[in-house]
Amino acid sequence: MPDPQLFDAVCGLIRSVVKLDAEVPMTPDSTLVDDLGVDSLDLVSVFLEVQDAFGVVIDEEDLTGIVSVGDLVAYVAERRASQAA
Amino acid sequence: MASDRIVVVGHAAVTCLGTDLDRTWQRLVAGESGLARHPERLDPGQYLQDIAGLVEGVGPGTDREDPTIARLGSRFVHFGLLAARQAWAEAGLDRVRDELPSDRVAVVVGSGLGGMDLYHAESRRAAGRKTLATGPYLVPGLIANQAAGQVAQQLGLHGPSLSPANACATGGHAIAHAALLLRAGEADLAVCGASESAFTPEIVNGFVTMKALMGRKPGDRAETDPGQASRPFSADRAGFLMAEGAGILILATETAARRLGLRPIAGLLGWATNSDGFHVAQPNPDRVRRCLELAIAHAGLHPEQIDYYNAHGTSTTVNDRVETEAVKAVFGEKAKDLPVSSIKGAVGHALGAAPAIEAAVCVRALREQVIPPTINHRPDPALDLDFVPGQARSARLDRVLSASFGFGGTNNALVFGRWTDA
Repeated sequence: MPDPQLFDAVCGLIRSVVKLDAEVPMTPDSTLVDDLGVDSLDLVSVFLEVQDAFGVVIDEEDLTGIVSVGDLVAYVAERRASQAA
Repeated sequence: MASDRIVVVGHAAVTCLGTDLDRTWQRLVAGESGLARHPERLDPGQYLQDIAGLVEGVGPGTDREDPTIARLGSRFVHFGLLAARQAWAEAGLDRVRDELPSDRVAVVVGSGLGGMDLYHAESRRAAGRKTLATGPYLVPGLIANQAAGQVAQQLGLHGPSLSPANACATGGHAIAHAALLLRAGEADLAVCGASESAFTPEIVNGFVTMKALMGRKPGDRAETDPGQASRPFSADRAGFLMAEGAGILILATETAARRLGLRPIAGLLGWATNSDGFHVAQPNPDRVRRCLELAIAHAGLHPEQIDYYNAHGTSTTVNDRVETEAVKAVFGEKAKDLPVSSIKGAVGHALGAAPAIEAAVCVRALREQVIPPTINHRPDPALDLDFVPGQARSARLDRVLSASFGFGGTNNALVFGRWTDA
């Protein structure tokens, strides 16, 4: 289970970038493209906003592995931890 | 059909006087100015001039933001689409949607500078990043044809699309080229005009540096009343004041208008465009004069048949002098009796959008039979025309001429006529 605070922050950011209605449910298993309807340009926007907001760098080769909201939250958490180490 | 007349069936403007043409017109004929000091948006630490004509209450980040284009943060796209939606609604085109093939509607909406505001904002964001990435909507929001693109996308139009970029004559070129598409049989209707918002320190300060835009002037009458900063044809004119906004006309062939049951508001009788071939920024008096003559001739008219001249009238020393001389050369003895006014005293200079805003105002003037005034006017003995100073004037208006001139030596003139079914 991802850190609830981080999860909420990432969800808020996704909602803001993609202009998702508050009623659209978002769980760790929600896939960005299929469930949330994030298109290719919005996906880049989401990653960029995450980078700016959390001070992490998402490597190009890691992008394909980030499919769900949970994947993104876990990636951010791992990056922050490795940067702090 | 080459002989088909071209009619205006929709006209709209988004300006610093109002977010629609009704409000803009109402304040314009009341002699009001939309120019104000905006230190919160135009930080005096970064901008050499904070008096401007800003559109307020619509656009990105506002309560009235158009949700269909929320990802595009460039203001010119929002203003262009807003004006296009207004003109479209006025024309009643949704009612005839089934009879209107979408590939017979052209979109010709230009912009002088495109999304410079977005470019500036994204550049600043990118500078603070650890990577070289920029936002994925920078390029789509920056490109000067995106207002046209969004008009086509959001209104579901699939005809020819063009986006002139002819500096401060852009909107006039857009209308002229839309008319050419109709004349050539390439479309039955055209959504045309221009949109602009280019407030960045580089653009504003660049205009000030080249002494086109009025910088801060201690002791100037604009210091106590920013609404007096722009004063076309005045003795103390000191440069233009930058503004933002959009102007859109919907043109139709008369045949298409009749078939669809659309109500013409005015006729587009003639137009002309030409080049100075002279200088990067200074107008060429002979070519300006020639452009006016060509437009009048293209309309099949003589100069004495023009009832009102809507001037480019930027409030710069050079433009207003050259334009006055051109009017005198074209109209001869009649020049002194010809009402001439510039609305830039009231709405500032919205660069590429200005000619389209002025075209919409000319159409409204024909409908209302009222000439909007040149506000803030103090007579200059060297500029001795009837500038309709201060107060709007009722007049019999059958044909009006509107002209615009842009850096790079590009000129445009349009002739509109009061609509009669005869």
